[in-house]
Amino acid sequence: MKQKTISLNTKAYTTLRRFKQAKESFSDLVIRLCNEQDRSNSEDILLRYAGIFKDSAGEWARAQEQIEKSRNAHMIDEE
Amino acid sequence: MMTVLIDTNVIIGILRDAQGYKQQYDEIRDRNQAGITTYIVAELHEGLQVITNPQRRMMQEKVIEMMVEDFVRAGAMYSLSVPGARLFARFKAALQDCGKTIPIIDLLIGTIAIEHSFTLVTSDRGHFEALEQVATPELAVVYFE
Repeated sequence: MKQKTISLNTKAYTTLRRFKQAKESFSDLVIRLCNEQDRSNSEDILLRYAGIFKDSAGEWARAQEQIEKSRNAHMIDEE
Repeated sequence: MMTVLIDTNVIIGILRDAQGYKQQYDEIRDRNQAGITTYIVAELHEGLQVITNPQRRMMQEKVIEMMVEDFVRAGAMYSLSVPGARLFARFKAALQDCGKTIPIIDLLIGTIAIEHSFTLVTSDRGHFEALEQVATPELAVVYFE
């Protein structure tokens, strides 16, 4: 398989090595960790939709302001 | 695994990819499952009215409905129960005794979090801090910046 070389600083290398299993190559380790992360992301409902309204970010910022205004217009009564 | 109750401002922040929201959510989500309340569903639909393009609004409504359905299927959709209603009245009186006033929806969401011993995740520091000061049992909150 074709190889690519990446450089890690010592802290990143020692952190990564902690997760390496016996007889597992670093390539296999990186793939396994990424797959675990993908699986974890897909199990989280909110993350499935993260960034989905990015193209309407400005409108949703205005929507948030509108919602806040609406909340603040309906306060519990003061005694 | 614990449940964190996500407020509308955090949901919208994550959906629109607001700076820092996903990163802050990543920090808490590993050991927690997200839940929402029916009030958040109402507010997301309120927010849709700001989308001016009808086609885009329709598409985004479908996305919201899919997400809501996912929360319902996961058993992570909450609303005020009868015991929660009693707590609501007690917290409301405690706030009034201290001369504090907060939005009704904040009190509803905070009460649901307390009733189920959930941690509330919100960016609305001012109002929920007032509830934190008077509520027994305590309200656990993570504030997003």
